[in-house]
Amino acid sequence: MLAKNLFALNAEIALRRPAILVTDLAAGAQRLVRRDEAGRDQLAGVLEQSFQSGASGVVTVDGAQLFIHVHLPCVRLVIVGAVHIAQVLAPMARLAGLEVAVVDPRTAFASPERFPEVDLIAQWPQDALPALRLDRRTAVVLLTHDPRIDDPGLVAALDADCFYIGALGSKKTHAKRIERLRAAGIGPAALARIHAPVGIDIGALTPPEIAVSILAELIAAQGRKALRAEEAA
Amino acid sequence: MTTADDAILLEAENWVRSGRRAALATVVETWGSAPRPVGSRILVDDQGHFLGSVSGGCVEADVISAALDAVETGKPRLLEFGVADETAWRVGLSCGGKIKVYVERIDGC
Amino acid sequence: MPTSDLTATMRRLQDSDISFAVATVVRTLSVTAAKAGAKAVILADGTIGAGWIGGGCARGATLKAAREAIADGRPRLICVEPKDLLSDKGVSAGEVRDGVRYAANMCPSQGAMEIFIEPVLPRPELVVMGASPVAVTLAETAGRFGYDVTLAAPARDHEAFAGVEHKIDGFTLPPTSRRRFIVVSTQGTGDEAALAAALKAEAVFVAFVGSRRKSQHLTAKLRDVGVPEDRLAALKAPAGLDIGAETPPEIALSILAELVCVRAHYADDGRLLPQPIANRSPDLAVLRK
Repeated sequence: MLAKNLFALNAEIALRRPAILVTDLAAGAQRLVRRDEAGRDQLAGVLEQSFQSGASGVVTVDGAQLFIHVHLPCVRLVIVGAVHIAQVLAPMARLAGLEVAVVDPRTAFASPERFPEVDLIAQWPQDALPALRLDRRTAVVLLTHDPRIDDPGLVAALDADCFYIGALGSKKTHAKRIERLRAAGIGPAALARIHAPVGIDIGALTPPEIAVSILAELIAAQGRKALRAEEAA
Repeated sequence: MTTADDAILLEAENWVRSGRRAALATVVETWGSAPRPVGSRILVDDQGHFLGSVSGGCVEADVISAALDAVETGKPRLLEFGVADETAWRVGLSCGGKIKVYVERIDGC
Repeated sequence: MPTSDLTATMRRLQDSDISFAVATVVRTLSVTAAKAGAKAVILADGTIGAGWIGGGCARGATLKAAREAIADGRPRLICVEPKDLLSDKGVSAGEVRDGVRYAANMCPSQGAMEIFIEPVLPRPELVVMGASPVAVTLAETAGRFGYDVTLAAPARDHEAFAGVEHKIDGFTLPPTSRRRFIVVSTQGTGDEAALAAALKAEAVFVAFVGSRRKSQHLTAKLRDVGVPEDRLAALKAPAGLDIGAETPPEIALSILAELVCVRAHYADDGRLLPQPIANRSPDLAVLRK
């Protein structure tokens, strides 16, 4: 691998932009294809499909074995609300291989002592989220119970088409939330994308249980793997 | 792609920029229940220090030694590991499976 | 603060893994025998183990609530009031409103009191069998879910489980009076021995980490060596909620979620389990006993 390819790939990863490394396994030749370059590449068809599926693998083109190594931005969880559930959710999400950021303007909550080893941002969501570049490989979970903090985060997550958006609160709380967002001009399709009450319904009561119910829902929402039920069908 | 995989590439950049000679090994194909998916990497320097994993265990030793060769010679190699069930526990591919690993030196800085 | 003999009783019960509830009078109105702060330890059969919370007026309602709290593991608040006070509020005896259960005070003293009842249950035991990556993550994580974690695996595999307190060499489990959950994640080494031991042990829940095919193959073998049919039928395989988990940590999380589900089910007997993801997890029906 040429160092310049390595550096360029790292630059794309840092910007959360997809890229593919194409390696000729026999000749050793290698090049980097950025997302916006795929369309005019000689392998456009293969590359477009690989970007879509996210799957890496070996393809044979004109007798040459090429390794198509897809690098998608790592799946990330942004937690709005440095609350008790977040203290459990953050380490468990990291365990599941997610990158985690916690956003809360209340510095009493957003303290490094409460959140070691987590990217902690003590700002309002409307100030913090633009720099985080929310995207389709990002999940956003809102846990503060305070509309002044949760709602801006929710709107940003919907705008960015995040693959999972969950908001803590009862059905009643969520009905009020829907009313507020509708009044703010958010359409029904977007509102339907919010998972609320957050997490799969497993009878979770304690913060760790709620955290695991959220992560279970988030993993299922990624849809990487067919569910057993779907395979059987 | 996980945070761990990204971290290996970042570390590779750090090593190369600080003048360490290193090679990368990448899982390019798997069959059966291979322990690590396609795209998994291990980073190895010329002293045998390494980061990451391509098989979650014992074929790492062979991969690392191939990587050390690659650091010296500059020649990329494609390694293949097939594992029979009865020996699987010993060599780490515990459910059988087969993997191909591409080993290459990081060049030109 | 509980008096010292009450504390001693509570500790003795906890050390013996016996369930109980603590009832505390938190508020009284007009003349009542017990004052706020009075406490009693109540056992699962409804007898008072220690302490005192007043005479007969609130006794029936308190003992009933304590039995229920021990059964479902949840605390509750009861309000015992004279009948006319209840009707002033528009509630009837036995009714639950805003989380408070109302009961009638049948005594002539006509006092009113509120009593908080908190169950103290032995921590359930999670036995993790095997030393696969899923087993490691599960064993290291389950503690924060309130389990006492026990690892059962050959001693040579114990090294990977630094954070686990109880370790058993092999798969044979001692008897227990606790609620025991077993997850078998041997991943090819000792599958059959572990599963046989798990199904022989007394447990609320036994699950196997592995494909459906593999577990069917194993259960067929175990059937041949005489493992009873009802035990085989109680096995949950593959372990974990059907959430599309792929990596070992994800599989461990799907199992933790399943355990929450099972405990919620056991906590509230007779209630239908909600389907976690609509139309996506029919295997959850297995959780119903």
